[in-house]
Amino acid sequence: MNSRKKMVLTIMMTLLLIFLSGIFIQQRIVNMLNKAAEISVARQTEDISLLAGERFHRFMTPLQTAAYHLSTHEQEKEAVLQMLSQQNPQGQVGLIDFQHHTTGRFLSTASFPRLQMAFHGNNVIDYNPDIGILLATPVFYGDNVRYVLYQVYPPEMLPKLFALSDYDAFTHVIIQYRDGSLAVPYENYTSNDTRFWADDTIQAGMQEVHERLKRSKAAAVYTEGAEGKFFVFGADLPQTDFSMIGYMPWSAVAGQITSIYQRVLFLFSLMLILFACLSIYLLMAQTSVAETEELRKARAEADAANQAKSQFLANMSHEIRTPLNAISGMNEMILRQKIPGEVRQYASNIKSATAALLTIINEILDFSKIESGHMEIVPTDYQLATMLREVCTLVGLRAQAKNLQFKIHVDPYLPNYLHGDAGRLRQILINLLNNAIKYTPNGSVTLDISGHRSESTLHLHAAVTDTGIGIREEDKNRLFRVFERLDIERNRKIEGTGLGLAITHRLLTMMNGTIKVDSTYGEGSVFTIELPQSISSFDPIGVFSLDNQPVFEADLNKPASFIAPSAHVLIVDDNDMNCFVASSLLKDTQVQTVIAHSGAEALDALQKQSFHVVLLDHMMPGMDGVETLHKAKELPNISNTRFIALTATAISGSREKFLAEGFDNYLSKPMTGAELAAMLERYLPAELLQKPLTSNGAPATKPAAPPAAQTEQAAPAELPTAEPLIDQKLGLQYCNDMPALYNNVLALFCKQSDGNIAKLDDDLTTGNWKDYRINIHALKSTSLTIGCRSLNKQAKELEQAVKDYLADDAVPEQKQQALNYIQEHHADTMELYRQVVAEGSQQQPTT
Amino acid sequence: MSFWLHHSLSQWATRLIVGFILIVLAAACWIFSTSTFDQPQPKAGIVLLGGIHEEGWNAPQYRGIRKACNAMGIKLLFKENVNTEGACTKAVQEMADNGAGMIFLASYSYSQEAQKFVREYPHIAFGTNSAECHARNMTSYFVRMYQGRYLAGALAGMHTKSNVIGYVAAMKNSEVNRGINAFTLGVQQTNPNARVVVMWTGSWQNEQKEAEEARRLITEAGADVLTYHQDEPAAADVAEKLGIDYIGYYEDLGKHEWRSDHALTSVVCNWDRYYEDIIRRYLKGELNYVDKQWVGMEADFVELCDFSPAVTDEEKAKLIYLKERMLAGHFVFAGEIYDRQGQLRCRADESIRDDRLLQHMDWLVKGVEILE
Repeated sequence: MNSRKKMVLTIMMTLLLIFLSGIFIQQRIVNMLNKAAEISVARQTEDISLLAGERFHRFMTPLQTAAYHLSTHEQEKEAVLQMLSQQNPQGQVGLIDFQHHTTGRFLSTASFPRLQMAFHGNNVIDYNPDIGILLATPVFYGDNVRYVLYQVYPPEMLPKLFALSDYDAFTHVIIQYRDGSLAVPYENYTSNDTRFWADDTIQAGMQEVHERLKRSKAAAVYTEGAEGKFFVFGADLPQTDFSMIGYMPWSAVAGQITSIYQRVLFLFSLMLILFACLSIYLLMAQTSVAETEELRKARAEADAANQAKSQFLANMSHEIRTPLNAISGMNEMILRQKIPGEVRQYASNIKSATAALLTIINEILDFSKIESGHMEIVPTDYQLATMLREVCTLVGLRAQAKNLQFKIHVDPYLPNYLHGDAGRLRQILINLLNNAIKYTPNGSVTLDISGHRSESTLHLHAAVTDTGIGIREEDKNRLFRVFERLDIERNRKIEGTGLGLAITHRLLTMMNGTIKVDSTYGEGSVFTIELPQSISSFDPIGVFSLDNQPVFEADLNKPASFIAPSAHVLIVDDNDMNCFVASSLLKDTQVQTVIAHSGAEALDALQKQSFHVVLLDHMMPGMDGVETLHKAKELPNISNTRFIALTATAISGSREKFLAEGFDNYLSKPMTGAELAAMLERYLPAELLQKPLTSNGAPATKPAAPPAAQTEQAAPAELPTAEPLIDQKLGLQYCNDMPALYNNVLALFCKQSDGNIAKLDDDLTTGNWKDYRINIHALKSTSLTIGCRSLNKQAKELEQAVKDYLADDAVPEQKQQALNYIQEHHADTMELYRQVVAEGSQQQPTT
Repeated sequence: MSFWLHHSLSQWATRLIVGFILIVLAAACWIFSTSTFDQPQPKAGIVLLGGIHEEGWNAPQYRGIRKACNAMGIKLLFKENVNTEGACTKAVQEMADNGAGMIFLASYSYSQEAQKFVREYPHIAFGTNSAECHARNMTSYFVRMYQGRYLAGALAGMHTKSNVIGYVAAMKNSEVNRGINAFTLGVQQTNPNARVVVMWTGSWQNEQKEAEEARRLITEAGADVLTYHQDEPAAADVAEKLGIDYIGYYEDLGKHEWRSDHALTSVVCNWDRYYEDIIRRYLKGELNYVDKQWVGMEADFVELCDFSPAVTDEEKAKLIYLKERMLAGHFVFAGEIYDRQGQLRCRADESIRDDRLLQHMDWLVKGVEILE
């Protein structure tokens, strides 16, 4: 508001300045106009004065003629005088000689002092207020003046003879003698005129005129007084002691100029109005600026409050996760006991409630992370197939539980090896599918995965189609809003935070993806996302089917898949319950666990004994996880010990943070027994791992690469030799489940084998690496098509080695290494090839 | 609109607009406060034959016009020592280039040259005191010095004991002749028996000759009152030295402390009034209305300076009477006048017309003697 006051003040000051300078300029303009008019009137006066002068000289001419006549005819004085009287009866004619004797009109030389000049030989015009105007001319006799011939015009005659009133209608001119006495008034000169001339302003004007006349021929002055606006002017009549003065109304002179003046005034007013408008506009702008400023502040405050809220939510969810960890862990312990069916029912209810609660907390946490800007996208290399399998396993169970049909179609030509944030993509898909399942009472949920490629980017399309309740048209744009739940009446029984789609939407936005919804209310919806993912390898994903995929996650709830009785694991957590949960979960694996309740205790334990794996909680009073790790790393004989961070803080980037600090991996609490087991299986030395004695799942069904190992480690488990080399089922998948086709492909595979082997051998010996690479690549593909994973794998590795060898930027050591690998493994691969062919040709054609 | 919403931008715009308006206002005020009607200061010029500090003719001329110009707020341009062939033309050219609106050629000597160049400057009003030169834009401007001569003559007539009065004259022209004639008529007015003895020097400035002739007039002719018509008072100095009375011309000799009571008076012209009149006429644009202008004692242009103690009150009274009579119409050159040859130049009931006095006074009145 202060600035507004300042603004108003500025405007007022400026207006005042404009106003003042307007007055100043107006006065200057008036002055200048009047000055210009004065100059032009003065010039006019000069002309009038010449005219007046001429009039005097006109009366002088007959006198001069007569004087000339007289100078040659001295005796004709009487006659000449008479003739002059007749010619010009108004003038009283007379003749005066050097001794001042007069003939005709009597004249006293005292009355007209200038008469003497005539005796010097000059023409004379003189004035006496009582007698009138005298015109005199000398009469010469040779070099000398003997008489002066003159005419006297009495005052009453003067206006008629000499007045200049006929100059124009507006101008009034009187002739003055040099002493200021009025000599010739204009006609109709009345007492009003006398009063006019006696007016103070007019008198002051006349004084100024006379002042100026001292230095110029003619002068005019603008006066403004009681009588109105006038120009008074004056000029000396040349060759006489007369001057003429007069006045004319201002309007007669400056009438035309007035219009200019008015226009200037108009312009100035316009400028003033314009400025006023501008000022008002600016003032409004200023006000709105101030309002915007307040709005901005309010928004900043709201943002800060929101941030605080998000932070609070993040903290709260962390606080909730810790006890939840205990609940779910304890509950799992209960479920592992031999307990009555009723109790088992209660416990499994607790389990599902815990899982639901965890999902909700995770959603809130994700959302608060997005809101507070802590959510980060961390791209890694991943396999699309693996990711989809995980999603489908999870979602498929849910669909099954709800008696919904779950279908998945994957374009087999999509590249399998992609680069992107697989975790977030998985989350998105799960969210969408869960959402679809949630809102579909019966029918099916279908996931369609397709995509199109542009250069090295795959635009992944995922469409989730359900036969659910659908979305009303008017609700569609509320779909992705936070906490919005549509169609409340109908969906009252459906659980959820309402954050799922909002999170999905935001995650997609963060990853440059899009989402759109097509829905028919009451019939179902289609959610389609598009997400760019960079391609790291163009190997096709192949035929993807749910049914024959080993369901890894299905094992999660089962007892550990291994035992390691000689492994030593140190569990470090300040929370007793958490320690207990962790050790309980590991009971099945038979690993030796030691528990430490603080960083210091952990270090003591590490000094006393060496451990294969340390599960280290991060959030501990005193020494936290990271610090403990750093101290532990300084201990001797620690190099073989693997450290895994445990944390309930599932903030984005924590994994990277922990890895950067030196941890080998990290687990987010609450963790399941399976997660923990998988982690241990990965980090415990392989020689310590043993098959469980009472395992109810065949170890052979274990996938070649467990999900935890996908990034760093090759599959730890070797295929047993008893296993058939060719997996017909797999081969059939690649042939669209058409046995005839498969048989043909297999036959062809066997038939070409000899030639291929020979060619490959030949290429190897001749060093024709390009051809070798092409052939080995072909072998890689065809072996998978017939359903032989082992050959596919070996061919693939060989191909990689050739690629490495041929790489432009490869250093000689690398090249040598690659070459060594090829030479070592070529023979083995060829041997396997032959075995596969042998098996393939023995196999009964499938029907 | 969003453009204006930015706080600082809006303030900036406001300042810009306000600043712009102030600049416009200032410019408008400035434009209107400088008047286009002020006319440049008029300039008048004077060309002088001698230096501006040479007493006699030149210095009083310069002082007069300087005083007049200062009084009327006019810038004065002057060129002194313009006394070589063509120098006047050059001086006038220079003054015209400097913007002189009026130029006064203050010497008879310029008439020949002026004849050639005045018409080239139609926009300049010329004034001169040479009667021999006329042009549309040049007016001869004279002073009736002869009126003062007449009274000086009357004083000399009253003062002489020897009845011989010496007159050192420059050359035979109307002006000098007019002076001699008026002086002689004045002498005759108070002393009909006195003679006026004239010697010609033949130049305006020749101190040696003037002094020599003054000495001869005193010693040879026996003059006991001396006057002269020269640009410098060499003759007066001789009279002072020899201890006889003298009357100065152009310059008030009596003001010098070292001069004795023999410096009876001086006939002087009030040059400042003279130039003031000329300049006023110039400013009023009527300097060249007539081809000649002749002013005299009636306007106090010409006067006798303060008398020396040697002049008695009766003499003064006589002079006052003569002056008043003259101004009342009893002119110097009026009434019966004969020349040296005995020819009647003016009848008793006549007066000689001005243009004759100015240009055609090629005769000397009866009673003038010439000492060769």
